[in-house]
Amino acid sequence: MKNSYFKTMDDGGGAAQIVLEGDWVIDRSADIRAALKKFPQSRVAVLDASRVGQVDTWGIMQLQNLQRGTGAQFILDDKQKKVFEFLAENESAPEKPEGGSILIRGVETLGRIASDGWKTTYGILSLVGEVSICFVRNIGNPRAFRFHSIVRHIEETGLRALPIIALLAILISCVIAYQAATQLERFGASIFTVDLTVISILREMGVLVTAIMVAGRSGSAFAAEIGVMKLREEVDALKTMGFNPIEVLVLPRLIAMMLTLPMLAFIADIMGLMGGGIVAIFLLDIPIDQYIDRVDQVAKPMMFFVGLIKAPVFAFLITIVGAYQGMNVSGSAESVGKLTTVAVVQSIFLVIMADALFSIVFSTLGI
Amino acid sequence: MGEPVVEVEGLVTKFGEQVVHDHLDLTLNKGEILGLVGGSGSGKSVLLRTILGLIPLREGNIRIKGRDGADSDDNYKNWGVLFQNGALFSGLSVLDNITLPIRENFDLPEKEMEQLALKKLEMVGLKPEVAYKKPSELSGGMVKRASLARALALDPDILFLDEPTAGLDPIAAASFDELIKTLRDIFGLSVLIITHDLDTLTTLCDRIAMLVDKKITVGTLDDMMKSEHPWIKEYFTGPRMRAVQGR
Repeated sequence: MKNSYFKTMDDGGGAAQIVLEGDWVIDRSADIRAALKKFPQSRVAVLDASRVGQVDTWGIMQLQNLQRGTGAQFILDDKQKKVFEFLAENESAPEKPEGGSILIRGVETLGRIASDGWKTTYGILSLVGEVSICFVRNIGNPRAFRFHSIVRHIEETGLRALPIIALLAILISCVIAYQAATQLERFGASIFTVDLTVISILREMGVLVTAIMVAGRSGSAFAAEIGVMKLREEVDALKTMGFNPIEVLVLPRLIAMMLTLPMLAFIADIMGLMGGGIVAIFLLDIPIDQYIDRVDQVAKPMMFFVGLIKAPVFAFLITIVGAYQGMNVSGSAESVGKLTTVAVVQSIFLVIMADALFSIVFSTLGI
Repeated sequence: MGEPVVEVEGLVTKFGEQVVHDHLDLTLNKGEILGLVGGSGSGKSVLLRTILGLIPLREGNIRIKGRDGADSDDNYKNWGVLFQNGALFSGLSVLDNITLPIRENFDLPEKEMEQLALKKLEMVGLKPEVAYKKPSELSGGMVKRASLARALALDPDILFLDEPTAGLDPIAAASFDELIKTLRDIFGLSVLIITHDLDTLTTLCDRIAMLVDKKITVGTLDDMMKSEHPWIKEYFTGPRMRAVQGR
């Protein structure tokens, strides 16, 4: 038997001597694997590796596998001997960590989800508690509120979000007005398009769209900023210098957000009314003075406040969730990404849920 | 001494007006361990990054194994790099970190790939149990070793080590030095080490390259001890060096 990687020499006594040759390198792995199919599995007494050309770690591994498979003796030159000794096989390949049967793993996952849910609730509630304590303790001492930081966060979460939120509000109200117009036109009640747009913008859409946008923009930013600081031990550095991370990192963001979101929601309301106006004037041929008149009749102060009162609550939810997930980061960059995503998903979920609760409460109160 | 594997000729590096390297020459020969030292901010890391092609070459010439380095895309098969903080991919287990370059370049059965990766772990003196851990679960010394195993994944001829013993305790540092020496002796690797560790310099390095005044001064430890250059003199006769030498 002959090929470019090994040669069988029969020494007559039944056991074979195999002379290995050629380059046993990873580049040739496919060729060598094909050639090895013809390798005699038994009756090999001696493997002569001294005529092998180049050999790399992969090649050594293959040669050692052959030797182990056949139990043959190696003939090696001095240089090879050193390398083979260094890479001597310790056959304690580790068990891949695996977790039992599907049933057990299923139950385990279920339990983990439940306990994670409990842990998150507990963690968020205790963060709310810590922030509240921090806030109350600092009331007598305004300097502790870090106005610098608050102003920076107002700029970051408010001013810079203005253009996108204004645009979004206009577009959403255009969509609502347009859909309403096509339906109401059939009843000859085009003018009620204005009612529907104004009510949905002021009561719901203005603040909701703003909150969702801010959750995506700033909630994620909070989680990522705090998360990276946690990862780089900056949070620990703060603690060792006697700072309270909640006071330095979370409270300014919370205050800034609770001031900013109502303002953004207000601007979204105004822009929404403008968007409704655009559709009314250009598509429904309602003159501008009639539109303004109608808005004036429909929009009650109560309606406006019912919408805006939700803004600080949404701001609170977004910030707390973002900060909590950020504080939870540990280990690796991967965890920052994962928890930032969780922060956005959770905060949007909580915002919408809170909005639903508000609706129920307001309708029971008859507002 | 073998033929040169890394040759840097007339390298000039500038950041704006600031000149970091001024017509600098450096040669790494086959099978030698060359220690690259210099003050903080003297441009050691910049030099390494330029050789690796991470910083574009503006002026001068770099040859890896006799071929122009700057325009060659498959240099990565010739070298392994150990970054200062390991730079293990945090989302992957140690085993996947090592198999990543192998998987990218060669078509091996999954089992063989795993066996090969375990072999690399064994080479750097790590237990196979480490294979399924995430980098964040490893100690500093283990991160360096795992990262070295990844650097060795493609059986390179050249190793670049950026402060391999920084942050390790003296025992771990000494055994890491020992490991580099063993790997060099057995596999004939050429090693360029950036280091501040005086023990590494005196016990491990065959030659020392000093990056002073934007140029390289090369010599053995003895040459360096005799040098008249004020900074080199201070470096090699300072209290810390005396402590190392005094033993």
